[in-house]
Amino acid sequence: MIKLKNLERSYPLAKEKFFYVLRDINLEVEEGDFVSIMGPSGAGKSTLLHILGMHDHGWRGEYFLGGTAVHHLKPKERATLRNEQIGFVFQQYHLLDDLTVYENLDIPLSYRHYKKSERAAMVADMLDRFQIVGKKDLYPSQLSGGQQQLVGVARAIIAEPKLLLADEPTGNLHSSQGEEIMELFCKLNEQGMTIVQVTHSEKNASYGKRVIQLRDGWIVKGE
Amino acid sequence: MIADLKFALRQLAKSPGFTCVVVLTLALGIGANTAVFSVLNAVLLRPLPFHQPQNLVAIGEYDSREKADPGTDINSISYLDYVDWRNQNKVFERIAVYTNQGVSTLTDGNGSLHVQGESVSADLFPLLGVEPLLGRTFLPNEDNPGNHVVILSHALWQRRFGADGNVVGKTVTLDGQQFEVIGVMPPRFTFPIAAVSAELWVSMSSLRESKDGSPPMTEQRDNDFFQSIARLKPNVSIQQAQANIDSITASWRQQYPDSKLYTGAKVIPEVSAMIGSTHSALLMLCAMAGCVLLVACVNVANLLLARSLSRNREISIRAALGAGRWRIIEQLLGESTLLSVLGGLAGLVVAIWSIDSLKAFYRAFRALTKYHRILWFLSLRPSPVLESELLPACFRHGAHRVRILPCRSMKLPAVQAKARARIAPGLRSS
Repeated sequence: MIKLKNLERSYPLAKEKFFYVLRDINLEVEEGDFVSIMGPSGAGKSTLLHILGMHDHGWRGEYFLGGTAVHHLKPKERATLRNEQIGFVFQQYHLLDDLTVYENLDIPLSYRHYKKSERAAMVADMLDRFQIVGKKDLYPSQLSGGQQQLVGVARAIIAEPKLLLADEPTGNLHSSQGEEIMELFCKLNEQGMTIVQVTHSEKNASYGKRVIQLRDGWIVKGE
Repeated sequence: MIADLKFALRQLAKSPGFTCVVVLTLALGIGANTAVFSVLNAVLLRPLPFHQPQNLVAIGEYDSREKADPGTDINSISYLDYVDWRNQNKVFERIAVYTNQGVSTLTDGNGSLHVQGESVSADLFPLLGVEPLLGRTFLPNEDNPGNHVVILSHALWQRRFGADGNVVGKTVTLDGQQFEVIGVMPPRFTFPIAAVSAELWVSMSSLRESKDGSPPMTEQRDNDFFQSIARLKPNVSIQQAQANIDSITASWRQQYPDSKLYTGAKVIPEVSAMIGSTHSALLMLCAMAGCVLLVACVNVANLLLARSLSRNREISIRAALGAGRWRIIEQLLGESTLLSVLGGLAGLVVAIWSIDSLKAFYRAFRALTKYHRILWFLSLRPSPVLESELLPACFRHGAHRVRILPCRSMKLPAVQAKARARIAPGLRSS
């Protein structure tokens, strides 16, 4: 599913000096895998996740996603590939405040040129699946953190991506709400979805099948 | 698109202060511009609504002691001056005079009505090249005393006579005198073009009659109360006409030294006579209105740019959810369009109010400027407004690209790399 070869990410510091956030990352993630990326703050976890999610393009090396050489793609082609294959869950939920739950779920579909009737059916299905039908007309500010993250996950998977990336999805949640989200991830993984999550929590990492430890930009375990 | 508009409405409702400032700014810019352009179009750009208006000239007099050249500031003439010019000139196809009768009382079988009347010489209607809707216009001999005939405006004919097709030949009473209706003018015909449109036209007959035994006003050489209009013969220039009129007028100085010793005559285009000295003022006003619109657009662009800073997070999220460059620009332009429409509607109100003010400022605008033309001008206005908003829209997306989709090339200059190193600040967790 994912193959990274000698991937590096650096920021320029001074003349011809660079600060390396990620160094020589070689990583393979099989389809259907559930990988947890762990490490101390500043280790490069989120940077790696954003590179995988194609939000960050300032890296060097090789990145293959489902056999496609991402490093050879133009930005527009990367965006298309991302829309087709990847869903992203954020720690801060990042729902659009001025849209209702229904509209928040509809947004990714509208960017993927689904017909209105198809979108309505998919959103209805997702609301039902996540048991949030009753909340469809509420705005994010009217939901609890757990409910917001539930909507965030629903939004990430509504376009049926093959890969779900989650950046500390339970970081802002109460432990019980966090468990709910992790169980949901397990269920999605059982249904065949590949999941890569960044987490500080050993407990959350234990829901996954594999743990990758990052430190100072290097993979120190789980390559 | 509908979802975008709904979202845009919510965004605007969420920040009423911002919305009001933008709409008011646009309204002032669009309104002032539309009003001035409407008047400019009606007065300067569109020809007078008569046959071959470029050949129409006004002839007036001035006191040569006061100024050598009066420009467009010419005075009325006497009927006898008109008669001399009419009989002696070699440059005009026709020449006519007219004067405002003021408010007359029209009485018929249906009661009394105050109407605006105009006394005109028989040559006026053929000179203007207009045909009556019903009946006929004045015959040359109807300028002579004893011929009480009247032509009705279309509006008066409809309002007072119920668009009676048999009105021609009927008799009405004007200020106690019997007049025969001989014609009805077509709709939209108005002459002179003035603040208050004439509702009927009578021949010179009444003015040429002696009411108390003294000579009528039309027999007094120094009784200047007529305005004059003429049509140049083909291939005759205004300069040639001026020379001809000058020679006639020069002869008066010897014939009538008491009243005409210092009288000069001036031939000017009819449209100049109507708008007079407001021509340059109008152009200045137009330039000022253009500047107002420019300033409004710049202000709106600045406001939108400032607002864009507070929307980085939202745009970052949209991009992360799959919105492409044009999709985001489309959404932002949708919001801008909504603002433009609101600003345009408010601008329409400002434009109508401004045109009323301009009409009050100069009476000729009233008849020339039609409200329905405002909409035509208004349709041009969203263009500069959208231009002012396209820039912020592109900028917002550009800014978002730096942060969210940072790289086109793998080999980045250090400065770009620094900027692009900030990956979607709104999206990062740590």
